[in-house]
Amino acid sequence: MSSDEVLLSASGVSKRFTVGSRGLLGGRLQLSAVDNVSLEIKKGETLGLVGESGCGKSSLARCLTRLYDVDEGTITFDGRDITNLGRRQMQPLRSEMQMIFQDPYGSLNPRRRVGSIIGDALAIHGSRGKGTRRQQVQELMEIVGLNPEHYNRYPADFSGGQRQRIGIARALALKPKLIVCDEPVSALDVSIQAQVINLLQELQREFDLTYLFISHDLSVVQHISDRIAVMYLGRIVESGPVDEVFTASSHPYTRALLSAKPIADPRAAEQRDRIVLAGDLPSPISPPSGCRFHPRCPKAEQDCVTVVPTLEVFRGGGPDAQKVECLHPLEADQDLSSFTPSIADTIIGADAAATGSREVAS
Amino acid sequence: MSATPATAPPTAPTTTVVARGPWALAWRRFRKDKVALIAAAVMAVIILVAIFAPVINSILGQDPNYQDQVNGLDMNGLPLGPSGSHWLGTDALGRDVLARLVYGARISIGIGILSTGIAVAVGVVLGLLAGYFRGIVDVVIARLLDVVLALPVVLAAVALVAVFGQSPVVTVLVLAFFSWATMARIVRGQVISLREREFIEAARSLGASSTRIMFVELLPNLVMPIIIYFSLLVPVNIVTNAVLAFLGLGIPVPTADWGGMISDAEAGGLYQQAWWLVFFPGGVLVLTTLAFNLLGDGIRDALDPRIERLLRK
Repeated sequence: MSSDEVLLSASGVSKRFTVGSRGLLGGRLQLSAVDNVSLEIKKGETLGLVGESGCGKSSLARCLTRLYDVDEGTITFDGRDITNLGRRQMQPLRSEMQMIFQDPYGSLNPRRRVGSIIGDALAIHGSRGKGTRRQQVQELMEIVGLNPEHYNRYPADFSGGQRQRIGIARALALKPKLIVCDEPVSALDVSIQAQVINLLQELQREFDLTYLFISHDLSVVQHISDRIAVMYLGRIVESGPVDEVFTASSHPYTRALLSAKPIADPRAAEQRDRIVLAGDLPSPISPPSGCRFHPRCPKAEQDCVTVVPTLEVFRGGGPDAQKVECLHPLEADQDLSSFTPSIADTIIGADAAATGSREVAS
Repeated sequence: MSATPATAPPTAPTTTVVARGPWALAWRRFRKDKVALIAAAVMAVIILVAIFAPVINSILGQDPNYQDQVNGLDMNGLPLGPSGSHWLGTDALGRDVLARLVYGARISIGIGILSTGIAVAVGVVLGLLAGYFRGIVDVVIARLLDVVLALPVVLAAVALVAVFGQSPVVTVLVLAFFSWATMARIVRGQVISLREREFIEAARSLGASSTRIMFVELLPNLVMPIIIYFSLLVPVNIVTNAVLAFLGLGIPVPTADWGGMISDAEAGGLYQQAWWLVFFPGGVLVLTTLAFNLLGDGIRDALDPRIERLLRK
């Protein structure tokens, strides 16, 4: 399945957005969407990226595909540094990395016919395959399970699942090496989700695709991914092969996240311990000091407040190592619910006070 | 779309539901709008008259510029009222009013449509640029727009015509100059919201250029506001053209023009003796603008069901 050859790698990537209007002294708030993220995607694998809404998954995806300019770090695609390529230089590479978007309604132009939407890539980059553009587009429609006779219809004539197939056909048109799937099924019915996931897996086998699969749905990620990376507030807190992370997660956040995964069997669901985190996701405008997770972490200790942890190998080695960004990672047999939040409350209070004075200072 | 293939897949159930595109739905709504249909019919007649003006006048046996000093005026040299030989009477120079009205339709409607066309084209392009690029491009275009919208139209138009001289080209350009700004503002506003949609990001991730995004992705989403604004702007420009003509700054004489005809009737208080010199050109002008406005309203209601008519069943 996957080789050890790296297709896309990011090292130390950060992305900040300027938000809000200028304050009295001309200072504007900085939102740190992606902070010092490093990851590798190997040829032919599926890397699952999970995390809560607003944790920076989509921003990271857009940095990796260079839809956003990154503020720090480097991005290497297929052995080539693409961090600072301009739009024209990126142009030939666009055909090798494609995206599938979350919203099957918003991602298709409502005023264009399906045939021309799918054929867009061919129109921009020039046809490569045999036959007319129409024939190629209809072939693509067949591959993704659409009726080629619907070539001249508008997106409004299709259901959500069919629309997502249109988005997949569009991404597939130029036979890219990497497809970034940004929550491709989260807007769909569960039954349709399964169809689309299966389609993505079939396509991966057939066309030797590499996926970066973003989702907040743990079951979906577990099913489709070879490796996963867990994101919290702009940082990757844990990564590793999917089975190891799911069975022996070592970061308290991953543990808490996994405990929220629905279990089909109600009896089993009743028995397991749900770990409910204290507080809300902190604002990325003023992330907590030290470990960004410390205000909500049941296992946090004094040094978590001051020391910023780095993503270190925790278990195993080589490309399949399980990495974790935690000063006090959990061992497989440790249970997170046995820890009681000790410093969480005091720190949250201190943070709120600090946030209030920050705007004037910056 | 509706044609059923001869070899339909055996699993596909026969269905009588016909998929209707946005245009088909708009046409269905328009067809129910009686006022708009009548307005459309009136418009069609006026436009046909404008197109076939020479044919109509040769049938009537009248020339719009022929000054019949002998039979076109009464013994005191005053214009003749409506009669069998001149259906709508004659003007101060003994010219047939009907023949001039027929030819005037060409000028009035031609100038109205042409100036609106230019205004809409300029407004759409500038609105796209401002809304898509934002930043300095937007600032410059927005300021330009404010300046144009702040100018008193008639006064500035009079000044422009006075400077550049009287000709149909100048009239068209002057009218266009004062009407692109609103179109640009509408388009800019739409583009600002559209550019945040995911399909624009999708286009960018495919490597589409800015030009392609503006004209292939954004423009098709602007068709409806463009059509609506176009149909509402044409009557405005027809009236403004008539105003210019009335002030003596329209198309140079002797070309027939509705505004110019009213202006001629006003000279020396002639209209006090010859009501038909004001009544017919004024009436046609009102009828045309009314028809265009009602048609524009009907098109807007048909294309944009969100502001649906309250009276519709």
